Amino acid sequence: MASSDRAHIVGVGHTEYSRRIDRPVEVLALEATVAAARDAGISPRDIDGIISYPGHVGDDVLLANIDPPAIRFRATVDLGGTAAVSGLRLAAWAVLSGAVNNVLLLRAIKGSSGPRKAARTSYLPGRGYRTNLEYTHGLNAPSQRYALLCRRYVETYGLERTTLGEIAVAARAHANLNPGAQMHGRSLSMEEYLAGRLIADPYHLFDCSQESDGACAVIVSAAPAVNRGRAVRILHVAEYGPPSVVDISNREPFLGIGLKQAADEVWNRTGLGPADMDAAMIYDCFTFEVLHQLEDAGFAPHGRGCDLVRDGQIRLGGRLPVNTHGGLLSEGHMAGLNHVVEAVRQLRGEAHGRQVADARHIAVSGWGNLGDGSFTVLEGADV
Amino acid sequence: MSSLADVPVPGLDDPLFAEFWKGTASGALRIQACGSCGVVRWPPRHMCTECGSFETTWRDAAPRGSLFSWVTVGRATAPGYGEVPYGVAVVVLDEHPHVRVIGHVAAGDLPELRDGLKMEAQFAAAGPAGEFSIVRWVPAGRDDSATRQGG
Repeated sequence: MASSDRAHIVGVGHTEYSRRIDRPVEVLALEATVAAARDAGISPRDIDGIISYPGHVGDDVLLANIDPPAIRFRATVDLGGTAAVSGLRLAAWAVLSGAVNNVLLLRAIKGSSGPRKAARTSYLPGRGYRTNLEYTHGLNAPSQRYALLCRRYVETYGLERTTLGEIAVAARAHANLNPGAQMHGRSLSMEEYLAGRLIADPYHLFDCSQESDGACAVIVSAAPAVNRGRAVRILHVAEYGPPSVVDISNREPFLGIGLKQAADEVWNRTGLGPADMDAAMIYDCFTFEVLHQLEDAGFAPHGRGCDLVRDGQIRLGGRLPVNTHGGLLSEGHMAGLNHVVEAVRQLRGEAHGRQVADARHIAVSGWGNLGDGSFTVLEGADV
Repeated sequence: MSSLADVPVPGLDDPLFAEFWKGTASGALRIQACGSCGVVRWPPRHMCTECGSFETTWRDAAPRGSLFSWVTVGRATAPGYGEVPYGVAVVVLDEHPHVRVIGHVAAGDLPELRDGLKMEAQFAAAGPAGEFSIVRWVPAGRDDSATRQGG
């Protein structure tokens, strides 16, 4: 594939991820942005497009503090955790069209020390349905809604708690190789996992992702300004809504998610398949959703994700290392943009202490709104 | 044990949901259908995906079905549901196998929950002044005086 018909991720940057950061969230956003620009070899003032995220720091803060001479493209992708990977597609389209040169994707939030999730504005679709039928019956948190999906899977295929446990424990083991991770230095054993307190059965404490303070930024350009060897190529991105969108309880098929169609499209368009991936960064809001997506993306047959997860296969050094940064479960919750950052670091060979040997192709998924899915394969530069 | 008085009052005048809430207040499970082609649909919507009509009507459905999925909530987050554990069930209606209805499950019924369990809907007053009634799914065949108090 000629590089001219593919956009590139040219820079990434982020703050530390933590339960509590006292610097203003606007400062975190600017720190991540400046770091990403420096990484790309450009000035922050060269950023001329911004894709922002609902509820996070917006483009107004960047405009006020960086004062770029020209802003030519602004958009908000309002698709929950799908938006990080979907945003790569929008950014790629924008830069390849010639309308804009350097598009910034940004996440910046006080997700831990700020208002609790249930107290923040909900951007989930179906507001009337949720207000009338969900909140009134005691269903108002992501863990509770996602538990309904997991329970149906359990009843359909069977699922051992230790399978979900391995996903959580592997994520924590990876976070312990990542000094920037929120849970670095805090080990997690299977015994501790199994003793986690009940949140929303089948989910217990360690099945749930972190709430984090921090910021994370990615810059997409048609071609890298400097250091061509470090740019990561966006081979193809696909995004699909769920197969029927009325609401989660009446969806048919109940476990159908857009990720399946998105992955199918990416495999078809790239000529690559699951066996070609050197690692996968899978949106891990909850442990079961990793299994769910690995199956729908074709890494394992439906109902048999358990075979892929066991025996260390998803750990560093295994057949398919998954979420080598620790993921949302243990690195931090930047709505999946941190998954993109980790894929870039791995493909550049800069994942010190947790490097996947000879990483060339990495799949990244996005998942949001209980069934939206996005998927991409990123490719490292020729070596 | 009930704190249903703290459940936020939903959109009782919302044109999409007003009939549903009128139904639960009178002890009926009322489901929307297309006013033109008659297709029963849930949750309620403005337009028929089958025939394109904007006409709507409502039907009382038999408040019986089988358990399809459920969650046992152990960490309270929802106003009015501060006492844990409690359950939320998704039940497939016997009369309309493509319609699944969410409802509350009382703590005492949680140990019985299993895939396909036959359930019956009861209705419990909620809101600060009992402005509306929620759906509570109860294992079928139960003497309902034993569960009516559950919250």
